This record gives sequence, structure tokens and C-alpha cells, in this order.
Amino acid sequence: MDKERIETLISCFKTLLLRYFPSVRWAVLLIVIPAVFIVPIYSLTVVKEIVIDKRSDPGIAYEERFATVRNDLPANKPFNYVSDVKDSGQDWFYARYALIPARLVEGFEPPHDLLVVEYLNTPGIPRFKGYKLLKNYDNGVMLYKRRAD
Amino acid sequence: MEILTFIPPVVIGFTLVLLVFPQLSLKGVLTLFAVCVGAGIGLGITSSTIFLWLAWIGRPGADYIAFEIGSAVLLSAISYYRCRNFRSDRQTDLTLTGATNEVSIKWLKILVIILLIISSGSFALKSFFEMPYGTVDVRIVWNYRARWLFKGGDQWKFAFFSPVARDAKYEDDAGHAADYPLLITGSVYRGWELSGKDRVAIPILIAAIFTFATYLLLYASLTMLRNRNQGYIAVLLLLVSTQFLHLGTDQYGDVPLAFFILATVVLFVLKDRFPAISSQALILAGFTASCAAWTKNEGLMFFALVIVVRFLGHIGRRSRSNLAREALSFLVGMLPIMATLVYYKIWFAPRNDMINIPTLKETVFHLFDLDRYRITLTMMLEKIVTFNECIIFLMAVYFFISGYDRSDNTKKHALTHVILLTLMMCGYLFAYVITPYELEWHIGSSIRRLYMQVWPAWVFLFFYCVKGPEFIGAKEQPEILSHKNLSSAQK
Repeated sequence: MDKERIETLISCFKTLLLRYFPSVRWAVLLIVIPAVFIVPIYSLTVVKEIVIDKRSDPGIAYEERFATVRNDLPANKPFNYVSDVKDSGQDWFYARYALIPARLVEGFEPPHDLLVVEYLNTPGIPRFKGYKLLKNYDNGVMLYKRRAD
Repeated sequence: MEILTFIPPVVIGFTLVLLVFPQLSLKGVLTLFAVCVGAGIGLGITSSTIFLWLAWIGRPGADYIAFEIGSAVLLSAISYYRCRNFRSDRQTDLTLTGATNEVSIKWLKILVIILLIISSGSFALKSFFEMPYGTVDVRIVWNYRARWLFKGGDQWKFAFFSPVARDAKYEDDAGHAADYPLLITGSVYRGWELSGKDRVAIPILIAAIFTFATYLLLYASLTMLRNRNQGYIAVLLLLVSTQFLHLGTDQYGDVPLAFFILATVVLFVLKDRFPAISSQALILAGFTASCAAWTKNEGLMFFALVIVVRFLGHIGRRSRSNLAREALSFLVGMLPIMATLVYYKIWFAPRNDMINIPTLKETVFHLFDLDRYRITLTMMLEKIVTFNECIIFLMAVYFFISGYDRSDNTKKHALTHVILLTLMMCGYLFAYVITPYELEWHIGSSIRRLYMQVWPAWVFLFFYCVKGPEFIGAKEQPEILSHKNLSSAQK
């Protein structure tokens, strides 16, 4: 009895399916239905990230911030770089990329003639032993030069 | 302006495909197939020519542009001549089984087109407005080196400087993957050099070409080998796995590699299915497999596995002369790109961060550590199950309901491709076992991308082997009958 009912139910389902989706196996809907929902939802998520969450690539800010100091650094020469941004090394990658073709050396060792400082979270102008301020770009980025003595 | 820089590689690749494959007439899905494969090969060729030009002649200028345009024009002329001669010789076009007999399901076609348009919209939005500089790999490897090549002046070789290669320390990602080949880096550099500025549009367009060429190649190849409807369903499944699109927008190198792996597998299936075009398919497979090796080090592993599975594995089972002829065709295709890769690896690439002499002892020690195998295997299996929101279960249910296509054409050689992709995944396992990085971190941070490299090829094989989406009684449906009648009446 139950078996007959199940078979009737299946045949009803198949008839219904064929009316709306003629000529396809119903297994195809296993892929079609998720696709109809997932692809637009993914697109809406992207729109939400941009419009509502205002997410943006930190790379854009780094490119803008370092645009001027990049011109003041000699090409293909190493310089020291210190930053107060704590983001497990990501800052270093962004800065290294933005400052090409100058060669970024993280920290003070080995010391080079120029030092680029990115202090976004520390107020005032920091002092570094053996270095004098050459230029303040007023966006948290400063350029120092090593004293001759 | 930036988009113009892609015309020569696409023309070079497309005409090269036509030159090798004059059977691919300029009609419908065959053109799509030739354009997709050609775009990939073209970018592979131009990325290697610009690198060789930089290394041998100097900074590419107007002379390089003239060289590229001249090559494109020359190849176009030769392939036009060859295609015309081919037809006048009254040789038959490539006969495709399936496609001609089946009726395309219109609503499925419309759905695929709409979803592809939506996906391309979200790709453009995310790429240009949210992540124009791509993700971490782009800043560390691909575009970092491209920027050095572009801005480094006479010091451009600094692009290949790696602190890891110097100190053999693995404290951070500073020297991660510094020896990676140059298909993406070279293409990005080429675009910047030709357009004159390092705009973000170039790497974004390269990512877009490979991402969407993968969808289209999947469709075109399944249409050629099975039928249009099978192609639509396969594209839908790849669209459902949104991680693929996501990796594309992030400009990861795994998407171009996935494209070349898919193209190589498709060309080998074509070769098995149509023995008459065996040598032509093998020449192109040589190109695509070498492009995979020119994209990432994992592609180099894929290239080696192709040789093992497709050639060395057949020694003793097939006649030597046949095998030698096939190997020669493959060699002809792979030679230009592989020669550049060997030159790059010998003269420019720093040593690999995972396999190198200073860490050889540690590598051997890891190789005999059974615990590392257990951890890696467990994590890899877990990630297979949860890959793309457990899409594997969806495929399993689909397979269970639809069933395996038992026609001779499908059965033939399908196993070889399954073995190839499985061995590729075994290769990932060994790479993790010997990694000098922290094991769990390394697996967790990269396994999703590695699976994505073989994912489109798995999707292709899956739909190549399962039954088509058409209901068995579909031919009896009045609409289709009338459509057929209409077609015959029009004729």
C-alpha cells in the first residue's frame, strides 16, 4: 500500500516537473536550483561589501600614502623602514610593494642612509638616535637621514 | 587602452591553434574552443618572449611591439592559408559526435548566460572597487616581481632576490615562492610595459581572461565531446562553486593553472576520442602543459605527471613507434615554453623555499615521519569533504541519480585522466609532508587553492562520464519534435 503511494507520489512529482522543466532529468535541478540562488547571493554579498561595509583594499591607501616619499627615495638603493602598524607583517608587504624601486629593509639593521617612518598610531614626530628628520609628509610618513657622525 | 595590449597574445594564440588544428573551423563552439585555448597559450608565449627580450636585448620598446604585431600578422596569414588549403583539399572537418544530435535546452542556456553575466559583474565590482591590488600572493609574488621588472631599470633582476634563498630562514613570507615561474608575472609586466604605466587594470584583466576562459572552455569542450546541455550543467556547477570566482578576483595564480590543467586534460581526451587528430591535439597539449609549468611550481609537477601517466606509463603496452610519434608531437608543443622555463630556472630563479640543499636533511627527516602523513591526510580529506560548502555530496547524489554513461567513447581512457588528477593530489600530499613551514598552518592556508587547481578538470571529467541532463523521453516531447520539424522544414 505504502509502496503504491510512494510510486504515485513520485509519478506526480515527475509529471509536475516535466510540465515546468520539459526534457530534463530531475537530478539536473540539484545543480540548477543552488545555482539560481548562490550566484546572485554571492553578487549581492559583493555589492554589500562595497556599498554598505565600505570595504576597500588597504593597498590603495598605501599607494597614496607612499606616493610622495617614493619619489624622494633613490632607485635601487636600500633604506631602513620602521612602522607602528601592528598587523602581523602585512604592513611590511604593502610598504615594500608601494616603495618599489627602492629596496626596503625592515628595522634599523643593517643601517642605511635613509629611514622611512610610518607612524600612524603615535602622535608627534618621533626621534631616532643617529637620524635627523629630512621631511614630514603630514600623513604619518616621515623621511629621515642618517647623521654623518 | 590596457585592453589593447591583450590583442596580440590572443591573436597569436588563436592563430597558432588554427595553424595546428585547421579542422577547427570558424563556427560556433569550435571557435570558442580555439579562442579560449588560444588566449591561454598566447599569454604563455608572450610572457616568455617579453622575458627573453628583457634578458637578451634589453627593455622592450617600440621594436618589441613591432615584433609582437608582426608575429601576430604573420601567424594569421599562415593559418588563413593553411585553413583555406585544408578545406580546398576536401578533407573533412572535425566530426563531433553528440552536439549535432542533441537539442539544446533553451531555458538552461538562458540561465547559464544570465548567471555568467551576473558573475562577470560581481568579478568586475570586486576586482576594481574592493580588491584592485589583489590578495597577499599578488603583493608577495606575482605583481611584486612584475613591478620590479617594470620599475627596476637595469636592476630588474632584483625581482628574483629572495632572503630565504640567501639565509634559508622561514620566519615569514618574505621569500615565499620566489622561484615561481613567470607566466603571470611576465604577462603583468608585459601589459605595464606596453601601456606605459603600472595600472591595476592589467592584472585584473589577466585574472578575468583566465577565470572566464575556464568557464567557456569547460562548456566548449563538453559540447564537443558530449553535447551542449552537458556543457551548460557543468558550467552551472562551476558557477555554484563560487570559491573559483573568488580566487579569480583575488588574482591568485591557481586560476590560470586550473585553466591550463583543464585545457591539457581536454586535449588528451580529444586525442583519445579522435585518433585522426591525435598528433595535433598532442602538440597543443604540449603547449598547455608547458604553460601550466610556466605558471606555478605545482604546474611543473603536473607537467611531470603528464609525461609519467601519458607516455612512460604506456611503455610496453603500446607499440614503440606510435608512442615515439606521440611523444615527438608533445615535445614540439612543449619546447618553446619549457626551454624558457629551464633558462629562467637555471639563470634567474632563486632556490626553492621548500626543496633546497640547506634543508635537505630536514626534508628527508619529514619524509619518514608517519605522523606528518597522518596529519596531512586527515586535513586533506577533511578539506575535500568541506570543499566549496560540501559540493562533493551534491555531485555524489547527482551521480547516484543520473548514472554513469556507458557508451564506449566515454569509457575509453577516462581512467587515465582520473589517475592523472589523483596523482596530482598525491603530489600535494607529499609537498605538505616535506614542507619546512609549520605543517597545520601551511595546509590550512593553501589547501583550498590547491584543490581549486584541479577542480575544473574534475568537473569536466565528472560531466564527461555521467549521463546527460536530458530526460530519456525528451525526444517525444511535442515542443522538441516541432523544433526538429521546423529545422528540417527550413532546410
